[in-house]
Amino acid sequence: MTMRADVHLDLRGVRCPLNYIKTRLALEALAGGQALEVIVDDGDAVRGIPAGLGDEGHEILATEPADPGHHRIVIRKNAGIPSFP
Amino acid sequence: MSLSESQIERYGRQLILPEVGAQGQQRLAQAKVLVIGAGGLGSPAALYLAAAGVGTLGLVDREAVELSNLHRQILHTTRDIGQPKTASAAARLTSLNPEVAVHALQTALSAENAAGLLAPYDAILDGADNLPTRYLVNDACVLLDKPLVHGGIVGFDGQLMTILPRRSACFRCVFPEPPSPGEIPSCQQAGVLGPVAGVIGALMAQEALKLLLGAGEPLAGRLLTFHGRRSAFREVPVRRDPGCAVCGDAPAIRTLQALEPVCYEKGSDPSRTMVSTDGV
Repeated sequence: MTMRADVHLDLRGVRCPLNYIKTRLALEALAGGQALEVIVDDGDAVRGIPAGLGDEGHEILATEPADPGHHRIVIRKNAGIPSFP
Repeated sequence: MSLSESQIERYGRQLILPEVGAQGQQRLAQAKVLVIGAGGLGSPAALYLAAAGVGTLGLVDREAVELSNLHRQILHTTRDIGQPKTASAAARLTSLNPEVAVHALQTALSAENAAGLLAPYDAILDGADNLPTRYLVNDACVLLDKPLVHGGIVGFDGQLMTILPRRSACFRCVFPEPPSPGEIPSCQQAGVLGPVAGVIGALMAQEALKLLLGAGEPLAGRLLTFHGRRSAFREVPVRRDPGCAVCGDAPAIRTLQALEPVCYEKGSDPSRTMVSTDGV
């Protein structure tokens, strides 16, 4: 499955929890309803990032293997959370 | 302003809070907080505010570090004995977070200089070691319309209240007049357990961060008391007094005036009156 994202963020090689923090900051800059794609290293982040963001009401559109050693996560920002310029 | 890599890492654990985020972090960076007293309460409060990235911290204190301060005044170290507390504090805070501008104001707060000292700041934390200063700070904050976080400690106990001038009870609404000498123990004579300063000072920093971020619900109109022997908190609702001398509808106090310095004698039960509560 391929989802189109509005913003892409390459977090390969970025360790936990910095990859989560950067994902959160990128989401903050989006408008509600926009989608963010992040590429993260295989491991904790693949479960941790979707779990943390899902808890805050963001929608996880996809979590799937990307190139070897990495996963791609697509998140749609919760429309209820305002964006900041 | 966008956050640098090192800022993202330094502040990451608070950045991911929905109430903070990049926008809140920028708000903190632009904020100015004045801490009255670089002692028991001012130490943990200033450390947490600096750590959180509050851009400008002012510290008012006229004293030098003494050996007897060190069991509770965690900004200072044995090596700092004899140095002005503001200098010792500024060095410690800057080494904790070089992004913070620390203004070391080595002076005694007075009716003459209070308005000028407080004016540039967005929020004031009162960790003073004497009651005349506490009334002065309260009155100045009301007259200048500055949010004030009051904290006090004595023995095993402490108290805390946020004051939003003319919107919530001020210090004078709750304690209209200073107690008479002998009613409460002085900072010099009353003992205090070090961690009590940490409990209340940390909560003061928390209140300040909430105010700056517009997060949560300020501790206004509520006096929080800490009872360390039982490790219990109690919340006492307090109301703005329309007859208050400074924040009331027809205030008697319209300019800052000094209270006579009073030396309180030891003797009464400190748990009876929580007014005293030294910040030192």
